[in-house]
Amino acid sequence: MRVISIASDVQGADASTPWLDEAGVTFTRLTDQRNEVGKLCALKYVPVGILLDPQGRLVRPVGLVNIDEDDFRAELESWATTGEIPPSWQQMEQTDARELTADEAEADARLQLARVLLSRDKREEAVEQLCQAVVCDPDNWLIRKQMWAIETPSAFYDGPVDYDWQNRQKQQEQEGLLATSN
Amino acid sequence: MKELTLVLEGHQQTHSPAPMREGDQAWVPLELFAGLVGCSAKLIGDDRWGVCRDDDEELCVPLGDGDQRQVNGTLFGRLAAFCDAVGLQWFLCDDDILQVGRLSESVVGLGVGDRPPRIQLPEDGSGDLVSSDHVIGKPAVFYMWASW
Repeated sequence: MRVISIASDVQGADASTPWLDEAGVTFTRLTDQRNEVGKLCALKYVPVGILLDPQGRLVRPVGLVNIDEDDFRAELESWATTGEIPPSWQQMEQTDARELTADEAEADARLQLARVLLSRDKREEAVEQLCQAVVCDPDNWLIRKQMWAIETPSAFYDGPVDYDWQNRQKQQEQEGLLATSN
Repeated sequence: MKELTLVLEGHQQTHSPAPMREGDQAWVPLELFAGLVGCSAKLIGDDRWGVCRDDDEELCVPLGDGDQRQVNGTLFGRLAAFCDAVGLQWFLCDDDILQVGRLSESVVGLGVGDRPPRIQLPEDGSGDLVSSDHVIGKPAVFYMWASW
């Protein structure tokens, strides 16, 4: 079986490399700096698994996976060993690939602009674009959490990720940024 | 020409002679390879060979003049000249591995049995583009995560 890591990060591979190095990852490492996978697969979150058989067909609907979950690990090991698709995977609800809505397209355009601005060390301007992207597509956690991480890196990159901070931030945005946009 | 390791439907083959690589093209020992994939190599004209599906007598792909050559007494065929037409897909991986598998007839989608939309992203460090097509021939897990 082949395993490929896809780090979703508008900041590029430099942001994900320390984690991969610490984990001792030896398999292929890719970086999705433009949210290509998110757009292709109608995804707005991570972690996501795309599991393929030798013919390149999905054996599980594209969607959320939790590698720390015992049931999923057992199913993954079983499939990798036998090639048989676990019944629970076959019964999972699936989403459909689709075109972006107008709001999602604007959010994506702003994400791409933020990527360019970050590459030119224009962090504040990038955060402003991400902020506007979140207003367009508030349920897109691939954008929203990256905005948080770039704006407040200490809550993400100094030790364990601070989920209490994230919950407070989410609440503040509901009452501020997103409330005024409605 | 550089020797390749053939991986057919996820299984490494050890037959001799091995396929060869020349630039971005793969060349296979025609009669041996055809036999492995349910086909036969047939002489269909003066010195002109074709690859024919064993389960479909009418599906016979003639090779052009530049698609066949003798290497150390063995007839080799250029894989791209007939592979798609007989229902196979092939990829060169890691410089010296030739992956061959059956063309999937599945539709593009996100559910079980579908082919996912083609993903193509740069590999960290080298920047080489890696596509979901590259993993055809063995089970694969793409795991998308984030550091944030």
